[in-house]
Amino acid sequence: MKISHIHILIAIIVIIGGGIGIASQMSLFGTSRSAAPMKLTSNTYDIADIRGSSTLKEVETYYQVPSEAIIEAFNLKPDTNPSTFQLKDLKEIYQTVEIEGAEYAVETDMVKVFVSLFSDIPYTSEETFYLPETAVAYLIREDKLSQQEKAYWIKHTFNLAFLEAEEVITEVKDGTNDDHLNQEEEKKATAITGRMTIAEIINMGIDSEAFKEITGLDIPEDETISIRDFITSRELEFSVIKEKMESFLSSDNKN
Amino acid sequence: MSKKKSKSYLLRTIVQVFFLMLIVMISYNHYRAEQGLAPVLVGSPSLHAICPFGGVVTAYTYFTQGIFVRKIHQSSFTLMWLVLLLTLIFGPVFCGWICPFGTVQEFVGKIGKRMFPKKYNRFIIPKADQLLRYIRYIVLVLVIYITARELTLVFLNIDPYFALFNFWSDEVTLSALIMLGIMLILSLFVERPWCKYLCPLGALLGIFNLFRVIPLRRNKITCINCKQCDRICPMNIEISDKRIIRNHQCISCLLCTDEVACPVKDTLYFGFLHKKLTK
Repeated sequence: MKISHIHILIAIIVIIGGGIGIASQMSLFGTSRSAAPMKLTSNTYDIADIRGSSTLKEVETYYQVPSEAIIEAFNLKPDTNPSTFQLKDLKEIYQTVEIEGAEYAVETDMVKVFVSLFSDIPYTSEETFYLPETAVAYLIREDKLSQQEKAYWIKHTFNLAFLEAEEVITEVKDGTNDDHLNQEEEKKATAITGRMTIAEIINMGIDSEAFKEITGLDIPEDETISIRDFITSRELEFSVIKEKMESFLSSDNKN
Repeated sequence: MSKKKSKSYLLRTIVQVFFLMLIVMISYNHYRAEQGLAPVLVGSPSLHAICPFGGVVTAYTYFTQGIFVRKIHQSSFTLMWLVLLLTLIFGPVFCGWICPFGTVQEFVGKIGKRMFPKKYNRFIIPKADQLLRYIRYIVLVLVIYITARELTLVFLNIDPYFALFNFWSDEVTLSALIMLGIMLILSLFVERPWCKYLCPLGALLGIFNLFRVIPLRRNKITCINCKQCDRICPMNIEISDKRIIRNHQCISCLLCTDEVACPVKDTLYFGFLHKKLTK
């Protein structure tokens, strides 16, 4: 039997196309990032492989650190959804702190250190030398620290401060203070955080048209959902959307 | 070329353009997704997710440790198996019909054919050319070995396909971009240079040519030795002096067959369960 171009085309459709279809039905065609981190030993996963895109649920699955532990330690809202909350979202919630001349952002590496201390899996951080006070308190309460670790971490804590609570600078400086105050007020008025609900976003001035233009999506029926949860559930980058919304609001304010 | 033959040629070109456009759209959507925008028409997986070679490089870690190498997805592993099945039966159809980088090289090669109508694809001395064809097997072995050892996608450092369809991304290395430039320039002189000399996936699929279910067959009795098949073959295979052609470089493009180039019906074709030839 001779094979013609038509036969090849049919073979491609059946084997590749049909194969992808069947594989998708059997959940064998996942195209999103593999959540599995690298293994350290046959039984433990490498903490260094925790990523900003890792969710609380994934950390719980691979490192046996309950989501509730991280939620409490990092003072997150109790109704935080572990399946959608990604570690990189911490940056959108907390202010950067300055300690001994160095700036510390509350981000993934702090969670890695926390997980390492909680689960006793080795991890050496090159950037985290301070942990939130709530995290250290949690570890001590759960008896997860050795005497040596306790002695160190008790002296290396800081207080978490939400981005929403950013203070306006009031000291007078060379007559530019008014502009500076106005800028700070405007910044506060347009600042969007992941914890805000869709309803709050709308109240800030983002109407349905602007919402669609920025996100490519319609405003959901449930406006009580947090903007971060909504955006990440649609597999979009929250930080990019946040920036666009803030830019829209600040240009709207100027008009 | 007769009307029927030009239709066969056109069909393959349509399929190639389809997959090329599909990859372009997916890459564009992935870029949009990174900007926080919704995808258009098709999905927005990463290129790693839809490249069967990803499955090849991760196979060792999958079978020994039960995990995929970072950035490799289940989809690429599944695609690998589908492509291997297609190749086992029909030969490297993926190379000749689907691979977008092969298509791009062919399109650039058309410019080369116009620039060098007589010398195109014949610049390299045949003996040297035949030796160079085995480099891709060394690349295949090295990539698989180093990836298994380092557990990262080392091939990204020279992958011109990824560089071409992700050139805006931070993930693309300078060395890959240089490789891309070299291959595109070489395509003006040699047909499918990446496929012939360096492609590790092509190397793996090419091995299947040695035992594919449906090989290329030449009817010695009806063949008129016009050498049209040799001239048109993009991979410079000597077809006209063999009865069954199982060359490791064949990409199952069907250009040599009586569907396109061969002027005599039932003389050169991909076939199985054929009748025994009698004079």
